[in-house]
Amino acid sequence: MKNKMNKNIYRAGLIVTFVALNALVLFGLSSVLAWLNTGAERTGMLHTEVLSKDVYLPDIEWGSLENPGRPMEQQTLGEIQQDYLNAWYVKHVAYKTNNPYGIEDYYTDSSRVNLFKTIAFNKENDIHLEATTLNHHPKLEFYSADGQLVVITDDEVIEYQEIYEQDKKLLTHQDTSSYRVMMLLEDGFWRIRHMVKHSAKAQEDSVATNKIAEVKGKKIIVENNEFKIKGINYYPKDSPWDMFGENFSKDTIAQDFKIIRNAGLNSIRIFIQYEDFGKAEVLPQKLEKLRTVLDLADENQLKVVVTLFDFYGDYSVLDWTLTHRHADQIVSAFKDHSAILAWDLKNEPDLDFESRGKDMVLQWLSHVADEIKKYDPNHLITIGWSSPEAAVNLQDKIDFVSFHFYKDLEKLASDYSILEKEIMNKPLVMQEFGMSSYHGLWNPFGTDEEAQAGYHKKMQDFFKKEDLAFMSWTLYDFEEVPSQVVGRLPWRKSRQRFFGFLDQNGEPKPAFKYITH
Amino acid sequence: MKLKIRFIILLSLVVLGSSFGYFYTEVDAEKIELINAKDRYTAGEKIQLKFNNIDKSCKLYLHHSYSQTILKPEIAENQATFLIPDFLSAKSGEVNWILLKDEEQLQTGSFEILPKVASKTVIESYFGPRSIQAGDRDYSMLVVVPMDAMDNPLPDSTSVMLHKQFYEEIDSVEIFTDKLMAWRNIMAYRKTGNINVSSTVLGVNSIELTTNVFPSNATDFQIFSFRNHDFADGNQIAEFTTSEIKDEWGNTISDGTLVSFYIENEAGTMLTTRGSSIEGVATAKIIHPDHPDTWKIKGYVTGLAESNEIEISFRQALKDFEVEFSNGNRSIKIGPLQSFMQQLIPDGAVVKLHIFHQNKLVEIKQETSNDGFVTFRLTKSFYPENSYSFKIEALGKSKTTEELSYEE
Repeated sequence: MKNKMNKNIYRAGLIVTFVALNALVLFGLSSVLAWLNTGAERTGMLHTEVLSKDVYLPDIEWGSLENPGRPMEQQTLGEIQQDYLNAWYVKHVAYKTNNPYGIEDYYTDSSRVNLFKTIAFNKENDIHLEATTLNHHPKLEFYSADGQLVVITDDEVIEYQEIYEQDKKLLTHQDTSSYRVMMLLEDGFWRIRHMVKHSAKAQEDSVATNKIAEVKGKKIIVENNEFKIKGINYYPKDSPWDMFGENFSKDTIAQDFKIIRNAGLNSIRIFIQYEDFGKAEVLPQKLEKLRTVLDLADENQLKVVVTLFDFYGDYSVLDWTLTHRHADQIVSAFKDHSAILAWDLKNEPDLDFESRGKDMVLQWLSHVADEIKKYDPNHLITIGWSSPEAAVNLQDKIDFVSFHFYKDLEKLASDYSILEKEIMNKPLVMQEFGMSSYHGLWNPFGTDEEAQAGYHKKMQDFFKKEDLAFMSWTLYDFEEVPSQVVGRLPWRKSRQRFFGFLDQNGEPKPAFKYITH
Repeated sequence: MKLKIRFIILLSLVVLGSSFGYFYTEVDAEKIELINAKDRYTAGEKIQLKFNNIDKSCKLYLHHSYSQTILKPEIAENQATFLIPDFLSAKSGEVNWILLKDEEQLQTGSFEILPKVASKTVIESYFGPRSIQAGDRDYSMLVVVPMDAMDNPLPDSTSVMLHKQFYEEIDSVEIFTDKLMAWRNIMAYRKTGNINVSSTVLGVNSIELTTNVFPSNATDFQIFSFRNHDFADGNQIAEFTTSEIKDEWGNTISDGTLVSFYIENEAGTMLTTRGSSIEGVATAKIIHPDHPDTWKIKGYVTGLAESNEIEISFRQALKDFEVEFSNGNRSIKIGPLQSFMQQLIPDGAVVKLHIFHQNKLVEIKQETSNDGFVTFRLTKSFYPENSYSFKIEALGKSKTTEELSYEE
């Protein structure tokens, strides 16, 4: 009996092994077949279709296309522009990594040698560059009759570069040059054959300005009258940090704006999330929603501070041109909108000083400031620094200085007087302040609604005394706060939910009495 | 007394001034000097920048046509020398430099490297399109990019001799570079053939490049037809040919030019056949009609040229035919179908049988001939009526029968 059992186990074992072995052989064969079938499509040889996403978008503006050779076609011009910018991009990447990847696609045999030699030299000496161009003004000089050769003069190429030796920054430098470039159409790519640098010819283009807001001394002037900001940071009750998302409701916002107006305030601050708005390619439907909000603000006589680049955190030099296009598309669309008071470049960028490097963040902000002024000279710009100490940065680049204050009230007077001394000739705005009325499971001894009211009363007294512009945080208590804002920890989230003047049902809390003075 | 006050003022000014001077000596940048300042160099030349009063920790940043890099100095007797590496000094263009010390920019400047004209010239020439049309409109463009031995485009206004040959005609013309290159349009001739071009720059000759002058567009032409016989037998092939088609300058048009022949028959139907040209002559074929007809034919090179119109007629091939009913009138045998010499008509001639019941058309049946005969079979299950009459059509000839009776 036992013997028979053993035999059966044997048999079963044999059969299972046999099946498993077969399965393995089949799997092996199919893997080999699958592998033989992989690889590039044959059409890839023709470079008819190069899938690409926008990685490099400096401001490029073509001058005259008149040339003695052949009329330029729009299609070809687009291809030339794309390949020309790609040539710059692969060069920046190559000089950053000292790896010549991609150079062969955008430089011909003879010209790529120059880049290879530079890369070899820099590698040997442990030098690398982080560079980007911000501006191109190409002009078509010549396009050959067979459509295979172009000569371009690219004037006023603004190049920004950081040079590192052994990972230590030696130089941050921006200059303007002019290049004469010959490109050939080879294998479906427009490749650079010659590139000769010239001293730059400066071009001045005049921008017609139609100033909606301006700064005179320490005063903000709107329509020839002094404008003292008495404002509030605004998110709709049910969609905090997602104002332009699925739950966008014109009626809700209109109602809230009435509440704000009736409370005696004259301005609001709103936020635009970088990714939500489509990064380098701003989504038209988002712009429409923003326009709706601005129009509603106009109807309710509210001025708006629009904060850009919320939740953005890259700052790396090669990402600059993408952020510039983002800013460019938004501010250009609203450069004549009368509801806007100012563009806030970014909310609390100083919090990224530690993780991204102070210098990098400041350089980015300073270039974004230039970019926004270029496309919208009509409105003001500011930066929402997270503390009075940080607010001394970049004061020459901005029109008025914004700072946030969440510290103890005792420090208010001294901090403010220090800041006032540091910033002699620019208006100051306390752009965020507030107190949470949360005391519950996560913080049983937290401040309650009465304490919140007391806090705001003191703040308003201070603003009145110092004649200081303010924007409080915030209109509503929120049901939910996204993790991106204060992280995942429940005690932080809960605290963040109860900064409002109105509770989650829209009923005024005691602090509502002290929303302004 | 006044003198004394002046003296004191003067003295205090001197002291003040010297104290300022003292401060200034602390700042190195004031004393640093580029000893061998020069605005222009020639590519390939050894380029050194020598500075006074700097030490080893200084560095030189360079920004050139293709490159950016950092150089370290060599120090000798209170002088620092930066030697520009070959790969930078060999390229033409403007070079910007910045003298650095510990992230501080001490001095900036620039110089220009010019292409080395006195070196072995290299010529790249681009010629295209490589095929053009005879006449006075079309042209090829020759772009010449002369370069020095280090791959730098020669300066503007460099003379380029351009040579051109077409049959016996050989000539040269001088052009000048502008914006990296020199160019010229080479006009086509009225005659077909090859144009060869080459160029010479500073004694160096380029290779020869060729463009083909192809015939221009076709002009109007004549057409002819050819038939073995003129009977409408639906079998013989008719052929249409063109005269030798020429372009506006008398050149025979290119081989492969497509000529379409459009044929309008008596019923107004358009038939078409095509042929492509060889040595200017295009030939196209089409099968004869199977009934007497008259065709009007015209040839076209679509969109460009057309021919005269010719007219040809086809005669009746079939004089008469027999119809035989059998199998209780359910089998209808037609034939023999005989052509113009009483020969059996080739297989495939179409015969149509119109079936009527009480003068109303029931159906049209169609068969093709085999060995001169066509047989139709009317089965009882499909044709259950007790009387039918018929009309038979073959090769443009038709016959009708009387009312025939069928058993129930």
